[in-house]
Amino acid sequence: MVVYNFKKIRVVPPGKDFVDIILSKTQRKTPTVVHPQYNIHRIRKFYMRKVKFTQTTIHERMSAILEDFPRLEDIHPFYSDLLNVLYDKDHYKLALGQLNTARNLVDALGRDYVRLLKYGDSLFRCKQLKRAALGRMATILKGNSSSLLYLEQVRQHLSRLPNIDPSTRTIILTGFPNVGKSSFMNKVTRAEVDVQPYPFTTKSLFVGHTDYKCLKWQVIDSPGILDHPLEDRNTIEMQSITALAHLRSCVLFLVDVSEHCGYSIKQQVDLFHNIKPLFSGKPILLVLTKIDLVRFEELTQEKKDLLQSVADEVHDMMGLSNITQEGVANVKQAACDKLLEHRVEIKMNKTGKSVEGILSRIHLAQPEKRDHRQRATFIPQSVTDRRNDVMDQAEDGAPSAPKRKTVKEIEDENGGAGVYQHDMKKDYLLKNPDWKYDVIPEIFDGRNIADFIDPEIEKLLDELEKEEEVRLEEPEVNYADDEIYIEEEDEDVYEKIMSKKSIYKQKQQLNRRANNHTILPRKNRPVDLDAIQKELMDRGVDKETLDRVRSRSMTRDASVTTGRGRSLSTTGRSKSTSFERARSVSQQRVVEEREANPVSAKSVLGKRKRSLSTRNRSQSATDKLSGLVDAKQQVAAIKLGHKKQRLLALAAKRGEADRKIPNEMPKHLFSGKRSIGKTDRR
Amino acid sequence: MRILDCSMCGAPMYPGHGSTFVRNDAKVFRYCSKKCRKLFVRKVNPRRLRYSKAYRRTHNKELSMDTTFDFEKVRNRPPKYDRELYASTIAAIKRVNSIQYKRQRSFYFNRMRSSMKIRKMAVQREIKTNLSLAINPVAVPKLLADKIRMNSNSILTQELKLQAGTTNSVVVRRDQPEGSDSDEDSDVEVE
Repeated sequence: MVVYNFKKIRVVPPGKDFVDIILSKTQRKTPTVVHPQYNIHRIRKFYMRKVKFTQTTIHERMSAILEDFPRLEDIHPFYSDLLNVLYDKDHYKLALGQLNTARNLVDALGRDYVRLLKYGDSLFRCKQLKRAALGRMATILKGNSSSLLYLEQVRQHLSRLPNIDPSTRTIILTGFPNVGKSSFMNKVTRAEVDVQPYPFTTKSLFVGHTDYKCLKWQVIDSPGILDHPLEDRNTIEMQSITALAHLRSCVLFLVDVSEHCGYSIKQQVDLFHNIKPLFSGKPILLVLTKIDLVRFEELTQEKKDLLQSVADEVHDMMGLSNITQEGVANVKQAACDKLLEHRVEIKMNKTGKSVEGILSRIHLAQPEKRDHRQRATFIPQSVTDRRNDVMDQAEDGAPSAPKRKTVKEIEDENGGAGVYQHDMKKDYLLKNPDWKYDVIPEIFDGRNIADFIDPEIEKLLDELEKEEEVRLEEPEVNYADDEIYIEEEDEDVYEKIMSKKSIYKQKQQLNRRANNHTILPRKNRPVDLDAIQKELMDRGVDKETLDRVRSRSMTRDASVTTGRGRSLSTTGRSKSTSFERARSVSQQRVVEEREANPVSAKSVLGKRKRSLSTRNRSQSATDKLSGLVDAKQQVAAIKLGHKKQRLLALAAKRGEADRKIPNEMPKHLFSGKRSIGKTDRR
Repeated sequence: MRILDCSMCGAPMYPGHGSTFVRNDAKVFRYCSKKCRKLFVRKVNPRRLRYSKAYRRTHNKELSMDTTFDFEKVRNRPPKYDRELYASTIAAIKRVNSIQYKRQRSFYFNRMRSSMKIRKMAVQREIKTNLSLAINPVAVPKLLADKIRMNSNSILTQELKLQAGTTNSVVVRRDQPEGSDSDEDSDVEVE
């Protein structure tokens, strides 16, 4: 179903405007600046572009116009005939042809001038050529202004044509002018066609739509036809003739029995016979209008005979009155039915589309029986009883069985929704009604009870127990087996040993990592008596023994006679323990120091925890403070040393010579945005 | 209310714990913790996740197939409430739990047996060689006396006996001048 919509045709500008459009477009869309000093190629290109652009633009626009307008060969013959009637086919074709030639001429011009421009030797020459080209093109366009004007008018009229679908169900109203076609149209459809007492009120075709049997029907109102030969017909009549000729529809030939239209019945009947050929192959209805004025029965026999003669040739004769609406619906119904029959018949008779052909494509699916079991309808007894009750009630007016009280009613009785809480557990059906109000446990001992619920659980449990018995008969793993069991004290001792080992390992690693440090030989290393004491206590030596030993070492001062430059080494096995020796020497020194300085250096240095205390210093040549005389100097030296070391220590440097930069471009300094501030300096 | 299993590690999730993810194909995934959730999102296979039940079962680290597991089935049709049935079920759960526990334990010890043996040997060796790191020879006699009093028969006691036997010392008495019992000095430094 093609919808003929001529509203999409573009506006055709008149000649002069057309030229303006083209030229202004050229000016806007192409470069505008050129100077004589440019390269000649550039100048030529500039002007060629303009000429080419103009040519292509004109070509495009013309093509658009030519394509938009319908080609009379390609559209439905009804429309082509209608267009012919309205606009004169020849004129139409001529106009379009002129535009076509104009287009070709413009193309040729463009080509020629572009060719000429290739040899333009100066800006002036090129410019002149361009002027000539554009000028000639403009002249061509102006020459076509009459065609363009005509086409514009055609376009405007075309867009206002009624949208008639030539292939769908149509009813055409024909007859003399003033018989009541437009009135009938108004009655039957939603269209509001002009109805006036003078003839030729309707000057063109009008379409209305109506519904019948859930289908859309087109009703076409046409201008009245007069009885004269085809050649003498004017444009208006020709439109209705065209409609009659080309639209496959049901024709309603309206006859005014009251002759108020100004024409007698005889004339109308004559008209019918004259335009009979147009009705070939269409269902026709003879419709007598204005029967409110004159009834069929009231007519003279002569007239009746005339009408009868027509009625014999057509399918039906019916009467209607537009004013009283008598028979309007009947006529419409009859017309629609007739047309439907006709269309169905045609479809049926079409070659290649037989009824059998269609039937063979239809299959009614039935469900297959699954088995031979009878499945009768089942209606519960209570339902049938209730139905019977209802029926009885309808007869008697009183119910036979009492209706059950709903929960809602009970709720309402007891105070309403907020007040009454219906006990839903009351109607539970359990094996033992005592269980109704039980709180059901869900989780027990890390398990979901719901997963274990099983009516057979006793049995399963029995099986499990049996299995377990069997399993227990086998010798179980002896967790206190001699091979694997370790006593607690052994575990403790083991742990102690391992921790000591790891400590020594770590210490050694630290020592080994001192890359540029001189490592003191063991004999010269400082000895921390407190640490030793602690360690020994940790290993089980009791405090008494230790105190005894220490005190003994203090009294053994005299046995060590060497002075300051001692060569006593701790590696050689001597009678006394190392700490005893150290103790004795340091004792000596303490005495000396005490003489020299009443203030203890340790107090000056405060709580600084160092492995080297002044009292327990070992004798070694590399002693840092050996050159200093008294505690004051020593303190000062130590403080100075610390001060110097502080910055290095803060910088995590091993020494002054440590210039290593572990990370030359730390990511956080060289990437990312700053929350405030700029990042143009990195 | 039920205890659910984490879909990654298999840990039990009590009501109010964990998070859930429902996929477009209506498959539900539950996570006991953010850790499991993040791993899931990273598309880690639970069978490769060391601490998950899936891994442990497939690699025979713990009981995987046992009749006690058959008791716990997901049943889709809840039965009609029956107090007696519930009571017997609860009793059964207790019993099943205890049996399962025992079986798990024996499974574990069977698995660990050889390594426990090896460990014991390592402990023995360590004590024999490095006892002095933990116990100073000075303290040995006293300690040994204590151990003998307590009738201990551990590796430590044996080793102490040995050490006490090798040293030709007598238990140090208070007033005696210092003997040569402590010829093994313990240094602060590493040897």
